[in-house]
Amino acid sequence: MRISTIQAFNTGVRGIQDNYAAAVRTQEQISSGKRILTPADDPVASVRLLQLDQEASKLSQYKDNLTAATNSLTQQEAILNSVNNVLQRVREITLEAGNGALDAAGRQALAQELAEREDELYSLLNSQNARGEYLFGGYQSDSQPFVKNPDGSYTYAGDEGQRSIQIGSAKMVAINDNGKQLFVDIGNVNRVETAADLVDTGEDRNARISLGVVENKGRYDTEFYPQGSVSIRITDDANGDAAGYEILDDDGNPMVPPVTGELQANASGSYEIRYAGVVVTLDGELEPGDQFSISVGSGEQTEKRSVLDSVRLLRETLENTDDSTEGKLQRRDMLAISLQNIDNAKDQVLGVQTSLGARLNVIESTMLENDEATLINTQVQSGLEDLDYAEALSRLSMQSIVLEAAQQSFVKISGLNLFNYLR
Amino acid sequence: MADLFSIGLSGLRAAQTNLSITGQNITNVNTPGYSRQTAVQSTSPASFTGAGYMGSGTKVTDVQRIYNQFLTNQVRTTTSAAAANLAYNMQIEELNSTLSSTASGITSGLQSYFDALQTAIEDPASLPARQLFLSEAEGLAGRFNSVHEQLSTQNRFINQQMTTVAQQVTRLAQSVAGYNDAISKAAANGAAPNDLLDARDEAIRQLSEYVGVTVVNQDDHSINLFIGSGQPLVVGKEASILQAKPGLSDPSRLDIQLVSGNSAQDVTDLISGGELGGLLRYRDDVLDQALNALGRMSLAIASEFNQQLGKGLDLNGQVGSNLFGDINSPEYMELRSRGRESNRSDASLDVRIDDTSQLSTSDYELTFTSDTEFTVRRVSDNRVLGPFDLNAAEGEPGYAVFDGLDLTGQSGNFLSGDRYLLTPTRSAAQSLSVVMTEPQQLAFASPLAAQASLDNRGTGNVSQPLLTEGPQPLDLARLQALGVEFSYADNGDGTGVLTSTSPPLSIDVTLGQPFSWEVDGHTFSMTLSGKPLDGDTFSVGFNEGGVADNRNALALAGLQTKQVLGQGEGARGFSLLDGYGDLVQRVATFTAQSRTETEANMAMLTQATNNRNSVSAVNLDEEAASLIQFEQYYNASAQIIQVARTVFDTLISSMR
Repeated sequence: MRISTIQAFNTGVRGIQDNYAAAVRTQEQISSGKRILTPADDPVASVRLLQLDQEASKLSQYKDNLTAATNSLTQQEAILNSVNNVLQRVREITLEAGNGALDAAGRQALAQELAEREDELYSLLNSQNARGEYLFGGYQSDSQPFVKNPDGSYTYAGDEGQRSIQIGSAKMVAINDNGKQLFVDIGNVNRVETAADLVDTGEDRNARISLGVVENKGRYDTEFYPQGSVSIRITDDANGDAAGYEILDDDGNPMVPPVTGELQANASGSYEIRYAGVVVTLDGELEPGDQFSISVGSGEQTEKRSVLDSVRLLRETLENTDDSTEGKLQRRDMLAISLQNIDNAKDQVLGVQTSLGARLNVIESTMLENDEATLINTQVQSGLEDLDYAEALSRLSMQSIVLEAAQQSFVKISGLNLFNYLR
Repeated sequence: MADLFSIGLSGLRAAQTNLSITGQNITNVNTPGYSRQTAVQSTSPASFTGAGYMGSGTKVTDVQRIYNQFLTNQVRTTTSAAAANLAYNMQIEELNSTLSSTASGITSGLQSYFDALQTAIEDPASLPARQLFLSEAEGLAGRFNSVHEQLSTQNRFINQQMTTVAQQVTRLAQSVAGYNDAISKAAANGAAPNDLLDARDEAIRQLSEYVGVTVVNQDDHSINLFIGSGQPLVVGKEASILQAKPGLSDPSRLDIQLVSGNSAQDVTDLISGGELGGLLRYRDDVLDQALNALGRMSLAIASEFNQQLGKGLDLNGQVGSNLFGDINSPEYMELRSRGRESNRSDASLDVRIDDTSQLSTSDYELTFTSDTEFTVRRVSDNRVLGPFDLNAAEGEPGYAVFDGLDLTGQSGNFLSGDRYLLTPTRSAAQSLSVVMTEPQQLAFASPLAAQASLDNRGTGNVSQPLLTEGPQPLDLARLQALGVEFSYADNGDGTGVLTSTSPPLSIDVTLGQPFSWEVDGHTFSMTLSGKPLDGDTFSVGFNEGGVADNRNALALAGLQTKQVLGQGEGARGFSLLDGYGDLVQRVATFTAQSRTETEANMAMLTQATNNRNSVSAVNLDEEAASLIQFEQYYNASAQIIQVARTVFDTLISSMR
């Protein structure tokens, strides 16, 4: 084939250019460590890389969220532990206060400690995080959730808000618990009101009815609550002495079928009467015809009592009762109720602590999953875009050899010219 | 003996001619388009003598160029294809790296934006976290703006390039016409004007670099050139003018006009091949598509985020305000359409974007068939939509809403025959901007909060209400005044009824399942779970002071994966990032294709050029050999004269 001079030059130069471009490209790959330099180098892999990038970024965000959730929940857990300790101490004080040998000074000392525990609890419940946000206010994190009223009682000013954050593509975890659920929404055993309507015998009567205690909530809800109010009337025996009782309905009529019982004094000489999940204690000299009413409560005697109010009522009882029989009985009633309410409060806190533990477990397992996914992600990503250095380096040395050969041969060939011999 | 002299002389002359031609070949070894020449030699007529016919020397009858029409044509067509691909490739490579580079890329911007949102979700009351989100929003808008700006720069570059190319084409067409004239005159004597022919071929080859041309040879050695589908660029010695003019429907894009005599014809859509063809193909197939896809994304971002923010409360308890500029502000609506200059009315058409998830990335051509009726052609698939009527009400046939666009409520008076180009998404990426200034205004909270009453005997729990639908903006006064007291009545089988007196509501609920209720156009979704008892009450009221509420922010974060794009005509749609990934992949695939095509075209061009050079180009060795050959020829011819002289001398001296 006939080759023209320009053709020989062009071909030689183009060969060098092509080889040079290939070598430069390999060098670029080697210096960046990437097989794919722009999406067009491998469109399919590039889109996959874009997705993996997005995935990796999401995973790292989830990781941040997991850390934030752990911090938040751990802080809450620490505070709940403190709350539990305080409640435990309050429970001990309640038991100590039940000691009949305790004199007024001893009671005062206990009341004083209770007052301090109450304050401690109050400040724990109004805990703030490092950013000054209240932990237990629900959504209302910038106002104090538990407020002390002028009369000494407490009000919850927050709401039921619970904040969740995303810790996985379809996983959310709650990072706070509101104060209402933790410390206010606590079953109150003293949710009925009691009153005595005694027969006038012309003498001072000392018969009394204790505070009502709901001991079986299920029966109370289904049997007692619908009636609203019942009465206990003391009935007499053949001697005309108080010997039994019957339960009357809201209108003062006997139940159908009648509900009656015998009065049997317990070790401390009181009569416990149980009806429809409610238990009351009658004390003193009972006369036939005495009526004691039990009705669904209002005011302090409602379904729920906050833990602060439980402690406060206990403290007030210790402060305000004396050594009289009435005083002792009032203490006995209140101590019994407080004990149960404090236990309820502890249960409530324990329930949330359990849920906290469960959430922390979920966080931990999610973290592991997350790390694993990140690892797999990185591997896939690296498989797609990273350079095989062994291959690239051997390719580069091959390309350098070819390039050098092309350059040398070009110089040789272009030097061949008949004119060199025309002298 | 005189014969021998003249024979020798004719040899000398032929040798001189051949040496000149060899010299010409050697000196033009680097001249583009030069075809090597050769002398055609023949014997001079013989004369009859007694001994028979006796030769009388040699003569050069013609100087020819070594030339193959077919090979030259091939060089021309492959040049045109390679130039088109090269121009296309250069542009798309730039776009390819623009879209993928992390600095300007949208992906990382979106990611930081959603990361900042997640940080704010963790602590919605924190002003620094909100400020970070706001700044990232500004950053995101900035990225869209700058990518749009880069693409617009490409468009401006293409405009400039088109102008230059049109001038070059015009200049070359004129020189081809000039060569035509010169060649037909020069060829009149029957000999081929080799160098003129070469120069014309080269001019046409250069022309093919700029635009694809069809070549038609004429009898008088002139050549006619046509572009597009047969539009005359050069006819004989007349050349047309190619010029770039602002587009009829979109002045920011130049169109190509062919002016011959005093008539101008728009040939933009007809041109193929050459740099011009490559640029136009890039503009139509890639650049406009990329701009539209980016625009659609930014519209979706602005609209979806503004809408969701409008469903929440900000840190001050006010209804959320817009984070991004309103996509339907009057100036934007006007920007989306452009009337033809030839329209009889000068009314402007406002294009409202109703639903960004329905938007396509196509442009639309709208033609009024009467003063209120019109049809619309979707450019991407050439589908004709409509007919529509501006006066049709919702639900009536012809209601002017399609592909997420709303053309109702026009104020202009249109006339039959008016035409408009709608580019709803074209410039949207440029107008994405953050209008919110105070981080407190970010509406991360939901408007209502629910509470269970402390007097409840049951353990029923009510979830916090989520606003699923509501007017834009929300009726704040109404929501603030809202105080719904739901009272529960149990059916005993895991279902129950929630009733309220103000507003009067009665809702059947299944425990653990979400239910929804409505008040004055605001629809809320809630779930009642646990074991509520008869008479338990749940109150729902305004979320006063709910600064740590992140419900609405969570809904915002949901937009990261929600399918907010491309749901037109019942499609499933895709998320923002997938939308961007789709664009990147499309451009990457086109780029990869164009690389392969460019390589193939370059190889074909190299091959064609080699083929042509192999035949027509000069080989210096060959010429060196010719030099030696013709030098010897000259010497030998001179020897003939020498011999003739010697013979003559011998004769003369013998006569002494």
